[in-house]
Amino acid sequence: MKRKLLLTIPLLCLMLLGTYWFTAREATVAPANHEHLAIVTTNSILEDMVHQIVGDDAQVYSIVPRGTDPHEYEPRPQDISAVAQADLIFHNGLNLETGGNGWFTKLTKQANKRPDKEVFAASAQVTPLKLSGENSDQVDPHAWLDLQNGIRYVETISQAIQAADPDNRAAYQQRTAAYVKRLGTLDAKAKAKFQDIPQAKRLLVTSEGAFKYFSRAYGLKPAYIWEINTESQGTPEQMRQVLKQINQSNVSGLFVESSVSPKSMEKVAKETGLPIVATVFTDSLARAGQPGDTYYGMMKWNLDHIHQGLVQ
Amino acid sequence: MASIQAFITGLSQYNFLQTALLTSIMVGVMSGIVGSFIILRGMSLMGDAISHSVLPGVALAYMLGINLVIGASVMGVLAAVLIGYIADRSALKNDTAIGIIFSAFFALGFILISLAESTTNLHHILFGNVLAVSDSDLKLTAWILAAVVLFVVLFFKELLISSFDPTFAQAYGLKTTFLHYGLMVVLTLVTVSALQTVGIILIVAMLITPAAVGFLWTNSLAKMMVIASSIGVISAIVGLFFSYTWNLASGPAIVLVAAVIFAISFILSPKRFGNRLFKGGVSDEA
Amino acid sequence: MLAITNLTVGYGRTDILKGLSVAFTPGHITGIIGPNGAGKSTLIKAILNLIKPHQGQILLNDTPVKQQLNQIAYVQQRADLDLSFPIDVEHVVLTGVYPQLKLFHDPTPAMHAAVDAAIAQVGLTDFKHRQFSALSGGQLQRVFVAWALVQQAQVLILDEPSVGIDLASETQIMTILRELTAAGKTVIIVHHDLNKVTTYFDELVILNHGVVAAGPTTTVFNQTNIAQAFSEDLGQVLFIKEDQHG
Repeated sequence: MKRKLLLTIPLLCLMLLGTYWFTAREATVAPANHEHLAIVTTNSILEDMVHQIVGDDAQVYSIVPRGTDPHEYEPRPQDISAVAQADLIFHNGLNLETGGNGWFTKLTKQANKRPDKEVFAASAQVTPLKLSGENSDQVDPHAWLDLQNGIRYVETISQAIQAADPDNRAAYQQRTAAYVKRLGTLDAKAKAKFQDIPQAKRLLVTSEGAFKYFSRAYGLKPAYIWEINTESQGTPEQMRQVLKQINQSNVSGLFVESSVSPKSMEKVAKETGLPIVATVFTDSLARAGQPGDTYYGMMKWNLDHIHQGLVQ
Repeated sequence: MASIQAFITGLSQYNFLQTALLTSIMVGVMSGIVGSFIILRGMSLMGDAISHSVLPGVALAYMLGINLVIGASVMGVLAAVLIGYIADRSALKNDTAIGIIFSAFFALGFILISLAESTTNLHHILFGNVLAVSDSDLKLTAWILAAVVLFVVLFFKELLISSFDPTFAQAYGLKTTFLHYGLMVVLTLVTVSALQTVGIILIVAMLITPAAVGFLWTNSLAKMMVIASSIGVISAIVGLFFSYTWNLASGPAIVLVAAVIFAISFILSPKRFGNRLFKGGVSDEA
Repeated sequence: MLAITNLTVGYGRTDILKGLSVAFTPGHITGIIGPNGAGKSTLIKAILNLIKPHQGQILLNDTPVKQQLNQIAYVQQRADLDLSFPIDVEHVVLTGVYPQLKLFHDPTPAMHAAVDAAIAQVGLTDFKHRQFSALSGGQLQRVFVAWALVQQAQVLILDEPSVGIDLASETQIMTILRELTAAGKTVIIVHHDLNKVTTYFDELVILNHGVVAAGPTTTVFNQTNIAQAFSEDLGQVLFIKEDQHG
């Protein structure tokens, strides 16, 4: 036994020391010398915004695939490599990517990417809305569904890109200006159009409470089954309160998001006799080639269909 | 091959890959060691049960801010105690007791997780993500590996005899109950560590599959543990390689590699039927 | 001497043996026979302290057996063993010295030598490194006799050792056991049937929830006792048949 221990204990000590030494070293930052700027975004909405600004002058990689919830996500090897190699990383902020004990924070920390040096929140210039009730200390992440906020996102992103790649500043500025103009026009038109919805019908019913910013911008009242996606979805209490709001209003149609299960909303439809008139986009763009595959397209879709569904 | 080259380059470049490799190697070694005893004692189902039963411990650890290892270990041992109690004090068989307890603990854990204010990723706990292992997780794994190795070296002959001939062990006065619970504690520690690489659901694979390969290739317990650990390590490295090259979830990739190695061993090994001259048992006509 | 006095023992609320008293004397091979469920294995388990009796005493040389468990070597029924365990003959026999070892101590070179000697005594030196399930029934039983030998216990209890073994192994084992009793050891064999009772055992204990008879085989192994312990028919078959064959 003594002989076995004499062999084992030193080996184990060596193993432990080796481990401590390994974790204590400065992690080697992967060399980021590419000809193009390497940009990583968390979701497809930010990805599209970056594309509109950079065109072909930079490479963009988006982490959360379209149709997947960016709140809780398991990074895969490619995601981690991309982050390690990135010059700039954009996330939504406002608590969107904080699920899973902060998967995004862990990811960037692992790769030694620092806030405001490489990592930027697109929502930096946005005044956030808070969640309601018990969660009123938390913010609502869905700011981009108000086009004015979308514009602020674009400006924040553009500033960071220009600072990181001053050589192409002129091109970035040009594209940003053009893009912001398009978004502004869409916004103004929508605000005008929404005037013709009767007050009593201005209830926007969705599964998740993602439309607070949207409703404030376009003169509606938001109603939802569950407030944020991480909460229990479709509990009796939640169903009761949303049915109550529907009954007190004259609304003629319900909406369901492309990225959640329609089951709860279908139950609401059955209870109230109201139809689900359209799918809307929230956390993610549609797949490439389908309507709603850009931020502009997605907002246009939402605005057109919500207007249509409420005014009928 | 280009992808192997890319993997090696990645290893030299990326801290996350290096950490992942070290962690899964350590987990491979200790699962092989502990798993050998688990399968020889007929406790494969128990191994699965303990790994599921730690879920409420993990949830409570997050909720109350207590140490994860302590939370999980308490639950793991509690489950083992309850299983033993039910099996001993009633006519119900061991696997029935196991099924009842572990599903109840698992369900409790699930509810606790959804109640936990901090949004703990259930998917992460269930399937692990060795690419997200932090430095403190790695250090913890190293300590647990040291504890497991020390335990087995110190108590090897006691573990051997209580696994091989429990009647004799008890008859000559060996404290078999202590040994059993000691093994349960060690199993729980290994589970907590393996949580990171393969998650709760697949831990049992890391315990059993490499040990089963060891069983098929040798007639010595010590060699079986060495083979089991080696297969655990090889599965980890190859699994990580596939995960990195094809952008797959790492835990499941490791488990599948282990399963393929088992399949090959099963076909090739001469020891499949346990060396019996007569398949039905050992007896000859007098 | 292994003396059992007034033993009442059983499982749960049922007592299998009530107030049983019997003694096993050194220098003799004592056989225990009885029908299924008669309490043979219960008696052995009580001696080994694997179940606690409700009543009674088991003394080895006037001291409770519980305190001297390392003086009893018990060879289980082969059917109860885990034959696929990765262990070879040499290491099986080596486990026999474990009761003599403290925690954290490994077998000494002297113990290894004793193991080799025991393996030689049962004629299995060539099989030392075989996985033990690769052996025939008789060879396996010899392994366990070697295992019992290295324990250097005063009392050897063998549980149905002659089930399914070849004649050569049987003979060899009985020879070794006689050598042991000649050296003053106590050998107890739980026997599974009624063949060769007179050949093997000088002393006999006939059990059926209590002692039907105990004493020298020649005295005790007769029609009356067999009829009482087993059945009338069996008594007739055994003894009248034997008479007829002379």
